[in-house]
Amino acid sequence: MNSRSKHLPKMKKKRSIDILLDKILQAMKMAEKLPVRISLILILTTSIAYFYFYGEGLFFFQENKSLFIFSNEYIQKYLMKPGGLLEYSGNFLTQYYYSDLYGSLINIACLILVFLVFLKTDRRLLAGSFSILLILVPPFLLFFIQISYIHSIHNSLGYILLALYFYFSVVTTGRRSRFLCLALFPVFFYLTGSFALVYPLIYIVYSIVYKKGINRYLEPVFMIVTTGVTFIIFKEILFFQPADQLLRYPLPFIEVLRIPVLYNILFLYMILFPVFTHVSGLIKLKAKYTGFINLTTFISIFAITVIQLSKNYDHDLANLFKIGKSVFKQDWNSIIRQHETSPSINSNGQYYYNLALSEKGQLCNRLFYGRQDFGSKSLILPRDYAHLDRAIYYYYSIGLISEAHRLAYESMVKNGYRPENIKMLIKTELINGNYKIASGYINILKKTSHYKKWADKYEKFLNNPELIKADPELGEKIRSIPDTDFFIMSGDIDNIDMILKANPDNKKAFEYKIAWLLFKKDTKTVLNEVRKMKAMGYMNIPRHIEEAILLYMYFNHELPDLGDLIVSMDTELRFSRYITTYLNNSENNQILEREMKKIGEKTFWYYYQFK
Amino acid sequence: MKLTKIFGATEALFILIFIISGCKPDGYIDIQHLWREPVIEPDYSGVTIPVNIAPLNFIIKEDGVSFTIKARSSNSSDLKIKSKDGVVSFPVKSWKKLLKENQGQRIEIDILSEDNYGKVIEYDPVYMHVANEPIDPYLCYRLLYPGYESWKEMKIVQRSLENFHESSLFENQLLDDNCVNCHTFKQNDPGRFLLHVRGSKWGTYFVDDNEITRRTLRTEEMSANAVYPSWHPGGRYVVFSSNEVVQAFHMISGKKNEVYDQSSMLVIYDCNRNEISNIEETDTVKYMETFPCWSPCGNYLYYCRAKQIKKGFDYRNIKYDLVRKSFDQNLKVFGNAEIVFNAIEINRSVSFPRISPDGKYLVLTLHDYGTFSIWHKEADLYLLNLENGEIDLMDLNSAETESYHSWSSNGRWLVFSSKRGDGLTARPYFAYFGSPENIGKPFVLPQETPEFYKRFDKTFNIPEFVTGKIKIGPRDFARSSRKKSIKAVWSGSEK
Repeated sequence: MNSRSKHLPKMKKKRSIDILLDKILQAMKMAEKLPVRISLILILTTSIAYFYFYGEGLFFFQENKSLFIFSNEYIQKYLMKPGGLLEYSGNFLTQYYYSDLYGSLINIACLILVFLVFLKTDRRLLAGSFSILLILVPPFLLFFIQISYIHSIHNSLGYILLALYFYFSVVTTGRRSRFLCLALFPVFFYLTGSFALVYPLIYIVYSIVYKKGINRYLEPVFMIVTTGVTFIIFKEILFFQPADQLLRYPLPFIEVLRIPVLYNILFLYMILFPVFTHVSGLIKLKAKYTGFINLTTFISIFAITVIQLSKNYDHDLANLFKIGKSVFKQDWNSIIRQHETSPSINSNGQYYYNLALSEKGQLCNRLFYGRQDFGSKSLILPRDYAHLDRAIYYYYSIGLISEAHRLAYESMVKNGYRPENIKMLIKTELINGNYKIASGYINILKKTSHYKKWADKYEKFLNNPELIKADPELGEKIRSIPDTDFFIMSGDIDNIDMILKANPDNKKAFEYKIAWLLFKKDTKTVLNEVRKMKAMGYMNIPRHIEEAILLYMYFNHELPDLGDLIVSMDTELRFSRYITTYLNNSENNQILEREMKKIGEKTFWYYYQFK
Repeated sequence: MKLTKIFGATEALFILIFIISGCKPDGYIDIQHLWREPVIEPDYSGVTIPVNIAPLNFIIKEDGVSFTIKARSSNSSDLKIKSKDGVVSFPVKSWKKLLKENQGQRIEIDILSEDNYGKVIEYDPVYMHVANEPIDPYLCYRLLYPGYESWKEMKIVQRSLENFHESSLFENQLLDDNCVNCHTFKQNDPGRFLLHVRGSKWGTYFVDDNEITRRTLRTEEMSANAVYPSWHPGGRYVVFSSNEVVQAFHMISGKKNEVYDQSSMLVIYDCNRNEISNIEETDTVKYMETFPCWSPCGNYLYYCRAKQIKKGFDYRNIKYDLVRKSFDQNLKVFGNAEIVFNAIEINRSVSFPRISPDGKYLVLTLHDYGTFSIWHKEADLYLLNLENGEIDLMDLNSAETESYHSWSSNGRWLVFSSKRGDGLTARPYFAYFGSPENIGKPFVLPQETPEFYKRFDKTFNIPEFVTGKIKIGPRDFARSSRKKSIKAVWSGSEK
């Protein structure tokens, strides 16, 4: 037996050990794949279920917050500030949010990307293994961030880029490459704005936890210096941005210097992520427990998500977004139907209902068919910044086109281009005959992907007053604008009086005035207005006005002058039933309200008595 | 024999074609001449331009797939450009050379358009007249949305008129997004000017030799802020009107904004002593006084004056005359007011009097009523001869608003705001002023990209000539805004 043959059994033994080890490793890899797959399924099912079935209004709202324009001027605006490109990219993605499927896919893609980047980073930090809990937290936190209506997709991109940059810093080996990676921080700051400022903190924590020797201190110091110098250069030399803007843009701020809590939690989690991975690496668990822990993790995260979603889902807000979507489509019937079957408890929702009634000429016929909790406040919204975008529609509806135009312009100045403010500017300029200006706005919409068709339609109206007059919507508005000039006032009812003085045949303005009086329960003034109705072209008195007349007659025992119009027999019969029910149940307030609700909830009488 | 004839005829035809093509520009064969000028945007046809102006790039608004542009003159070699999309951008160096060689002459621009089938159209040439006198090298203006009440981004910029470089002088995002207005230079001096900032960084920022001082001019004795300024040529005094401004919004189409004063008076600020005082009106009638303007010699203060409005007034009846008061520079004493131009008599109203540096002419805005002519479509510029009192509508007006205007330091150029483009956004137009009879056709501020004005939705407000580059910038104002404001002291009335 030579020496070679002597070694043969040993070698065979070694080879078999290698094979065994390989098999174990493969089995381990397979075992690792399972939690990853389950995690992905978990993210997918939760987010698809939410976004696709509940996120309808969410995407609509976000799409309408900005208007992506394919032009040099548009991108230039974003190139002028750090983080601008991130918002630009976000706006690019958001422009297609009119499709809920697309919106869902984009948001889900962000969650999966975050998951994968954290998986990769975690594996790298834990030398091949990973903790499923640690990598599931970021996508689920981001998921909760994304379902908020104030969220913009550029913030998700910010988190993804932040996680990616950290991943690249971790995988970069070699001192020079690492310093080079850190030296790219100014570029990262320019691209992501305030997101970049979290990176140094992550890197410092990472260095302290994972680095050894001089690099443990040298790299954090280098990072701090790079960040400081970059910040100063950006502020003092490169950009005309104040410090607070550099610190916060493009993060969403509800109030000055207040970032929504979940954003901060995710930042904090990312900062402490190296600590978490380090601690999880120290915990040595037997293989048989791993599956159990993973299962527990999945169940817990899924349960927490479902509980939180059901707890925090704002049905009324979703309802409002849905109504808003119908307003943009001018689908007035759908708004009326929705509010009457699933009433909004939001003043804006009720405002939209009243607007839809006005547009359908039904304001004084159906006003009390839908829920009314805010009286005249849901009839005309204040013209302050918070209500600006919504308040416009009322003025447009009643023919105060110049005021609708002013508010749309103010919205454009304050909020930037939005589909609705540009559309309103186009319509009002066409109505007012300012074709050159209208053409400018049409050109803006023509450079968008979704509103090009709309712009093409309205482009045909340019320099064609006859075509404008023939259009059902624009023509009707032209006929309702005031013939004589006046200044808009702060008092809403004063403005209606002024427009009625200038254009006495404006039925929409008239019915808004009556609705306002009905909400104020001022039956006497309603009655005074009825006399003008015949001359305005009314053949019948609208239902709620009839109700007010009968109520006035009942209390005042007088036969008023209705200017050749009469109260219908049907209303008189209903009133008679209402009064009888009232008299029969007047002794018990609880029964009274219940019975009156049954018989007359949709009447002015019920509103008069119980609201 | 026949063959010889055929060859002879063919030869003759070739010779004929050769001769004809030799006569036609650029060797084109099928050329049709249209007996009109091509439509170009901006309209630079027939304009008078200064020798140092940036290239007047334009777009040819004619059909064609290829354009040939040749700028030529008797004094220089041709400047030839080819364009596929009709956008004509002159190389800066060649343009400057062309203008320099043709000072006091005219440039002829020949334009040919060619369609897909090789058909070429030749137009009548476009002419530009190059004046002998240069224009001030910088123009300073405010950029903002021509809106109603709100603003967001607002900045004052300086633009080189010799090239396309524009740089910020003031950016409001560095000062809490506050409103900035009324940048006013002491006789086009880039080192001496002021501007107002409203809101949290409130104050009038005086710039003197690149030093900024933040001052609070309003004292308890004043019912409103110091608003429209005018520097005394000596540099010591600035007269402001102090206006209680009201803004209202029209509800009829064709009119948008109405800005008018409820009251206004003139105050004089002494920069050396940090003192402010009102300029007393000796007349028994109470007036509203606004838009002060010093004569170049400093011996007269011109301004606009209307009777003080009373309760129940009709804003359409507020009309301003042009008046002046003499000023004794040594004693700091004003004389009595005298009417220079009685606009009320012709049922009109005056705004923005601006006197030429030689003191001979005054350009004003005349409109139907009120004081804020920028929102008046009928507002036009008029030239008042201060030597004989003659007033004339200037040829440079359009059907849209012409309003704010100022003179170049040499008095040969006027810049004014005009809304002739779309009726909403004001653009700076320049006009050569040789004499009342020799006023050049105005041209809009040239832009590197000639489509610029189609896409730019902000308005150019208060265009002012400056004789050099302003050395301070937005960060300097931001730093000054953090300093404490120096409060002016009320020193009573100046008679």
